[in-house]
Amino acid sequence: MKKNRGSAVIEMVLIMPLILILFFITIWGGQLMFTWTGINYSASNAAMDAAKTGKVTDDICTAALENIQQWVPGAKDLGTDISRNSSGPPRESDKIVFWTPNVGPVPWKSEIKVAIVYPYKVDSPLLSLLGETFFGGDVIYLKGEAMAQSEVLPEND
Amino acid sequence: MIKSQRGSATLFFALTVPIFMCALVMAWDIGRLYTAKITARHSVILATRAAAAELDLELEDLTNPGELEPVIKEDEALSTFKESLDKNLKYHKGRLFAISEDDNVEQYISGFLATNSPGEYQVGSRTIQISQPAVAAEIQVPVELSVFGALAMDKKDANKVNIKAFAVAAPEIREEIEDNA
Repeated sequence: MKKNRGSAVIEMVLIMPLILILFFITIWGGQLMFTWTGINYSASNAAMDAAKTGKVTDDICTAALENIQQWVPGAKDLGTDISRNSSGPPRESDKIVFWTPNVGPVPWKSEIKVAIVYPYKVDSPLLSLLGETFFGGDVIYLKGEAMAQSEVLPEND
Repeated sequence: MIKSQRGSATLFFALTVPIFMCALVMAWDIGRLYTAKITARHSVILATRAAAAELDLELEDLTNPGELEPVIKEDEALSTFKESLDKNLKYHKGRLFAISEDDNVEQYISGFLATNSPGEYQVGSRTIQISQPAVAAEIQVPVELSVFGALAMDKKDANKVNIKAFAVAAPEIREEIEDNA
């Protein structure tokens, strides 16, 4: 009888971390998907707005970034940046980046491309360790991209 | 009399793990399907809007001289629709949609309509009433589920589900906006 005393507690101590890992992965997975949805939604909306106005204005970029900051948990702690370089969307570990290669008015039916890159940080030290093991870092860059065509007709002469 | 508690935590763990696995699968797969649904819907909206911009600009509105009459060039609308859809869907290839770079986007279009005549039309699985020139389309895009998600949906042989999305767009005449910046 004496041999069994405390064995359940020891087993629980050994098993609890596994249960906690599963618990946090579940919450983290849901949050990750929610964030990804928000980014894709904002990128598509921004592309549509840009198609309507015929240019990717700073107002459209800012509105998309503010939309993400409003809806995505933890996004308010991150900075924002608008990039218009032609080499593709940059990755910044502490900023949400709105990227577009379009500068100025976009001719009718020409392509408008937008992308939003969101640095998703894993808060839990345990998951952070798992992230570094499986993804090579504790920041996962989520990217939402969309392409639209300018709907603004050429000026009539 | 059973006094020993040895193995009780293991039993607890064995009972708890499936619950957490189910919750994890739900968070992952339902989240993924939801994201896919929204993304597919946005892709088809962007593609139909692009297609609806394929207008014949030579035609003048007879009732409003000087104004353009929005007449959609139907063949061009289809090719523009495919091009836009191809790009928007393939941004998410592999990660969200179970499609590859070489796939022909036509296989995902379950219904397409570009018309200038009012009437009732069948587009994919939907019947729509058109009262002005418009482009309508329905797409079906495959999304890959996790192993557990496939088991839960009783899809042991193929772990893919098709996400449907539909959109209608009418051409809008937009003149160039003056740059005040």
